[in-house]
Amino acid sequence: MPDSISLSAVAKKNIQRNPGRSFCLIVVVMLLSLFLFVGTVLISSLSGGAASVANRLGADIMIVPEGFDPHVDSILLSGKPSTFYLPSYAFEELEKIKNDVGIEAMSAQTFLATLNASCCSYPVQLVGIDFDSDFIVKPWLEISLGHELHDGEIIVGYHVAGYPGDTLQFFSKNLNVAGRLEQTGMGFDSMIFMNRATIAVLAKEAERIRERPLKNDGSLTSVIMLKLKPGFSSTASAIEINRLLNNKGIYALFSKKFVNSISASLITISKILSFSLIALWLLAIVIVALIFSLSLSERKKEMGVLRALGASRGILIKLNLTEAFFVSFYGAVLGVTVGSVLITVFSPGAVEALNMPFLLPSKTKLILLAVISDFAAVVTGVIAALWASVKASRVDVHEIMR
Amino acid sequence: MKLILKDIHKEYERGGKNFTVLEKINLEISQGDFINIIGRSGSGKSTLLNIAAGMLRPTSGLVELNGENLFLKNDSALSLIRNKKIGFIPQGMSALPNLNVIENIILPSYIYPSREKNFAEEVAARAKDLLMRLKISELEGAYPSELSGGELRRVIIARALINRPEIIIADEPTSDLDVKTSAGIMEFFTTLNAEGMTILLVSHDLDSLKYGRRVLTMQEGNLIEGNKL
Ligand SMILES: Nc1ncnc2c1ncn2[C@@H]1O[C@H](COP(=O)(O)OP(=O)(O)O)[C@@H](O)[C@H]1O
Ligand SMILES: [Mg+2]
Repeated sequence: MPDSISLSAVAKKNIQRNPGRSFCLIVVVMLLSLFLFVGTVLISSLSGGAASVANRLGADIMIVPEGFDPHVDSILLSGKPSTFYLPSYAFEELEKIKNDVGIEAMSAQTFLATLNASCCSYPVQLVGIDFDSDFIVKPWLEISLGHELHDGEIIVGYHVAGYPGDTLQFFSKNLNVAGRLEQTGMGFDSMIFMNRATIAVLAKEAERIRERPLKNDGSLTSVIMLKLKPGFSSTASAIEINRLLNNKGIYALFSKKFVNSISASLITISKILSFSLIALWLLAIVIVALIFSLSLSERKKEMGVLRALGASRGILIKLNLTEAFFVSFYGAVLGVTVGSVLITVFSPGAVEALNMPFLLPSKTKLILLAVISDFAAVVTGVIAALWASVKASRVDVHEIMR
Repeated sequence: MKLILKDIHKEYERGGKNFTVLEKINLEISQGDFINIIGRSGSGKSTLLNIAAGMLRPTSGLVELNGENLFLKNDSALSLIRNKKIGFIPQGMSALPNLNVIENIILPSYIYPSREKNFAEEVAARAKDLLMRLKISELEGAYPSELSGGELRRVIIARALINRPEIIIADEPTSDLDVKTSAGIMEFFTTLNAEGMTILLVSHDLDSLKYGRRVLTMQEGNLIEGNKL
């Protein structure tokens, strides 16, 4: 290979041989692309979680003990465990008004929180479901069980370490894993489901262990999920149920309400994120522009020499922008790489910390976000260098007369 | 090759006032000339050379290279002429610090690289030849910061020659060098000129006076024939 030196090779050598300056530039662009990537992934994970949470939940209305709706929020959305019960007459009361408010299906669930379990490093929510009438959990099964959910069998959420054939112990009872759920992006992901007979046994055991009696009349129903007939609005029906069953200690929540409360916090988070991203972006532009301007004014003589050797203004600008492109490119790729690692390591924790539904975008979308972040960071770097490059191209010939 | 400077007048502005550096310069440089311009520091030699090389626009007057008025051209066209036809040696140390010796030398060829098949080989061969002629072959991979003043000047001379220009314009190519090194470089120019290269150079040490076919003195903004120092 004969010796050769393309203009982009000149740019690369300028980068290599100014390690201090290049390092600063790369770090600035890296931070920019890192925050762009992580920020956009965060926003889209949250909105991905929220947008379809109503669909995921599968219920139009949830009946919960009066005053417990905040608990329900955190159970369903982030899987924060809690134990509470509806009055025992709740099911019958609902049966009575079933046709007035348009209830098509009802399924009761029992919530029982554990403090420690063999499977998990954090407390989990045990949920007793009526497998027959259930329309909430079944759709999420990875593989259909092909049979009833027997006593002593459990279905585990996506984040629970337990596979068909494994045994997990709760309240000193051994339970067999019969199936797993797909990822839902909701609290389901860290829950464990069983039939209501099984959870009743566990609840008794829990009572014994904690030496604390059940707080009300022995009912083991925590929530009742309702599905409405077509044509009935969940808002209107929930209001109607609350009116009809006023003062009975039960409360109808329509699932839109979750979405609304999620959206509100989501908007706040997005706003904060976008604001920080814009601030960071401006800062990056200023810093990159400054570093370039300083280093180019230090290299005025070099620019003058290039002019003398026959580089036109355009070529000089191109050379400096190529330099900016390479440092920005290295920085951007580094940023997205670091971002990907952070997301992989920390996104499971984010679900808990944020108390919001969190669903990572699909691989394709992640790659797209990575490419967009890279692109935006590179463009930013190059644009920031533009002013300094144009200025440098107007170098005064007197620089080479000294 | 013909380079003509016609009624060149140059004024600078300093402290809000204009002052004249070049009064009225007329100079014709023909193929095979070796012109050595001397003059005190600050007399306007560099200004004149930069105007002659199409780097600096005169206040009035014109510069013609082979009948073409350089300052009527746009930046791209003028840059191309500088690259292809003029081997310019700026005053002082002008090697690019981030490129090694061989890269510095071949750089002018790669500002407008040709698509021809053997382009890289040809440039490399020319560079090797120049390195040899200037006796700096062993410095190929060294960086400018590792070279002595004399070695650096040789690199820059090789760089000026790589595109086989029609004229070499050199601004004090021997300044800050010891007598022996200066002599070596001036000898090299003399040999080049003997081979047919046209040379316009500026010097300020009197030792260089014996070189060049024609000596001119820059005085009060005018060129005077002979050594008037
Ligand atoms: N850009 C400039 N602005 C104002 N004065 C200048 C500028 N460049 C050079 N000069 C002045 O013009 C005069 C001639 O400079 P120069 O051509 O560099 O002289 P020489 O090369 O003979 O030493 C000097 O007095 C110098 O200070
Ligand atoms: Mg000078």
